[in-house]
Amino acid sequence: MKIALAGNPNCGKTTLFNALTGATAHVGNWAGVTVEKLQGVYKDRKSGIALDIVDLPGIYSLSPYTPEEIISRNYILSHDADVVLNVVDATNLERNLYLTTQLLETDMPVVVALNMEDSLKNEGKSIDVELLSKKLGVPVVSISALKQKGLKELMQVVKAQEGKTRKAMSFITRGVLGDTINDVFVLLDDEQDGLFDAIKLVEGDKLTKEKYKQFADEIEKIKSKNKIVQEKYNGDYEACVADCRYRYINEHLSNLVTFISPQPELSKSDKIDKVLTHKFWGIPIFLLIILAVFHITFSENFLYLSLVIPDGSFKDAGKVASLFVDTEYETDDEGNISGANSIKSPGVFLQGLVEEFADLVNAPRVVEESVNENGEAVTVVTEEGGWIPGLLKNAPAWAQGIICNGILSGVFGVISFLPQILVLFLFLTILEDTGYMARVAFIMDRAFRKIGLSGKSFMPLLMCFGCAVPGIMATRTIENDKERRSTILLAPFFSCGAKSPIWFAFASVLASTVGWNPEFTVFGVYLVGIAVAVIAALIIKKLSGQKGVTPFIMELPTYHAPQFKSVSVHIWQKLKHFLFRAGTIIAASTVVIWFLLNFSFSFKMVGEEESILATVGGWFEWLFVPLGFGNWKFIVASVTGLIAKEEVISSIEVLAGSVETLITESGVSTAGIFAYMAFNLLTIPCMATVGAAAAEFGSAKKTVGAIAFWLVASYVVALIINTVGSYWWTAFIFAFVIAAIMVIAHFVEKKKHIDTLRKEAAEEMIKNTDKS
Amino acid sequence: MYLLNAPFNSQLEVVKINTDEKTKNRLQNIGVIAGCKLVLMQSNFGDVIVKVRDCRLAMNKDVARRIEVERVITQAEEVNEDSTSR
Repeated sequence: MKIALAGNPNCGKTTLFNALTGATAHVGNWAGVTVEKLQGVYKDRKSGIALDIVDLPGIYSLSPYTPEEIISRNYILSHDADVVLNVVDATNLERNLYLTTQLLETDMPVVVALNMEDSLKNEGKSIDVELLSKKLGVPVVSISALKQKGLKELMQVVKAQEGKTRKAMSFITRGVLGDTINDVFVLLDDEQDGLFDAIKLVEGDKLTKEKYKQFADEIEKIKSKNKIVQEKYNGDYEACVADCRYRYINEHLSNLVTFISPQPELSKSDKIDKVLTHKFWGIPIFLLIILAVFHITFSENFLYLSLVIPDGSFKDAGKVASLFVDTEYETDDEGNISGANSIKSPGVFLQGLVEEFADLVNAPRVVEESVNENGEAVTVVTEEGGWIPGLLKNAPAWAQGIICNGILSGVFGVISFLPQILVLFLFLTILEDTGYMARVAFIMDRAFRKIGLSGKSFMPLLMCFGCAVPGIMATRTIENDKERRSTILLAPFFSCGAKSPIWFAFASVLASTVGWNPEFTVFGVYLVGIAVAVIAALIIKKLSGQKGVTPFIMELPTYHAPQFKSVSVHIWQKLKHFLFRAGTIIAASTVVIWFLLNFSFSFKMVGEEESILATVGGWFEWLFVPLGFGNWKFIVASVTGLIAKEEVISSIEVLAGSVETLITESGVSTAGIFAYMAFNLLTIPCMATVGAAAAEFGSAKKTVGAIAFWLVASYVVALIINTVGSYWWTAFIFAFVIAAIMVIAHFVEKKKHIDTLRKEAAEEMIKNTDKS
Repeated sequence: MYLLNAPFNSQLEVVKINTDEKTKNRLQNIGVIAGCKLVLMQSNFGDVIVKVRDCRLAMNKDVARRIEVERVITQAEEVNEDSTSR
């Protein structure tokens, strides 16, 4: 038996789905988290009930407008499921029942799950469940998906519907539309969902009209007969149907909510909104919050406590304490100590722990040749190394190489950044779970509009900071195709979790060589990505000649404290995913890289300068000289990033031992380092992302165009960064060129606009002459 | 009067929605139709947050300036106004 979960966005369908099936699908406190059908199985050993459960994207009505809403509607009407389980948010009964009234018009058996009974109680309200069930004519069960209350009863009620049929019923057949609906119903004489189709045809729903093209004229005739709708609603049947539905709900169903305690004038959420969505403070508050998150994750100087802690306080703190505090210090000529007075942020502390562990396992064994007292040559072990090099000390050189310098250093190179990735996402998930991110979409809408996007693009792009694949899929909530496409093009510019090891690694090297604050370096990389996205969006907007942006309408969820369960599940998923990739794809490709680095074309083990990689990489070095990193090792690392972005760092570990060695041996400048980071940030994303984008574009031509776009963007930006970084005055030249491009784009836009106006005017003239 | 320049925190009733069809349908699905009651909570340079049927909706200026509303005088306010006029 198959059950479909249907309901408004953010009413807790996915929470219920996870609770029933034990799945760990992504749950968030905003509308549109689920954009695809999810499938799972519910099993209860005691009662022996086993059910297939299908979670659908949230819908407000069965007349959908966005791709993900159409998925839901089509699935429900396909009758693939045996029962529709309509999840209703009890705290928002009126709006949620609007969908229920439409579900009842189909021939599907329906069970209503009244969710969030706990929140309802907190708000001091209660609902008469029995009376609601009687009025709707279907079973209603009160549950709390989050607290897992009432789920067993719910499943028993659902199971009892097996094999039952239900007669379609509608609340609007009694009012002004009664005769019209009935006439269309008789005309269709349909076996399945006849009433539903009849009402949708009266409403003028596009998808249903397509299905019954042959009746188009007759339906129009029937509709024109209804004088009341023609007069009172100006013939707008859709508005009339909506009005009838809401009116019925208002008069007969909303009053089932009773207030137990007096209602405050302003709810908590309203009070919080007064501050967080403030017209002046909203955006600064958001930036401060994000900066604080970065600080906690990356700062070597937590809360800038070094300002109050005297210099040298931690200089004798010892090994264990050095995980938490900075014990390094410098002494000047007069013997004054500076440094050793800062505390590490939680992210940095956790990263240190993992690095300690990596050293314990895989620290290289250092063996030196020397001469003993008797003048004989002996080998002396100066450093014992980690467990694995110790175990393998008698193994052949190639085996030591492939395991220690290949797999282990590559994989550990990536895993050591895992703590910081997790801390960063812990905070972003918490912000999402509270409902704050939906507000940010609102306050950012104005800014997004200026670059041809709307606030609707905010959530998908924000998800790209985690991973661009779900981010690109989330663009389905954007109605306008042009806006969707440009959002997908910008998606890789928002640094994903897999790319972050690159910034962390280079930032920590820059911290020790030029003394830059690592959190600002990393924040800077993210900002470069955002800045490039803004400029690219502007250019796309100008060149596509797009007029106006789709209006922004979005529901703002009620704030709630972050749910430990959904946050921890999300972080656990991230951890599992990351470790899985490190253990499979990354480990496997490090072996390949190690092989290509140590063998020549004639399959002989050679020094790296004669290896296959050095030869092939060398062919392309000239291309990257202008970008400041014309060294084959950098190039090879970037190319391996196409498999997975973590590869960039794991490849560097295999190729050069560490990022620091690579920088010193290649002699790349600081500008070159920054250009390299920008290049990796903006260039063609990993294969999985390209695949997701191709699926959403649905066209090979557009996909190839997107790949070219990413390649050009990354090359140009890296070139600018390296040149300006080396010769600051070239900034003026680039500023001039960019300004010139903008001016040209502006004229192209204007011309396109004039062309469309001309075309419209010409069409108008033809129409007028036809009439006369 | 349009939602764009309506007073804060008082009961408003939607008189007419003058947006294009598609936007009108979206508004309809989400609960905003002619005749429904709403309260303006916040306005940021024309982008607004309103409360409709117990839920908070955000919409941008383009939408807000096309929703025609009128003020509904609630009973409490009526009593208040009576007492002040006396």
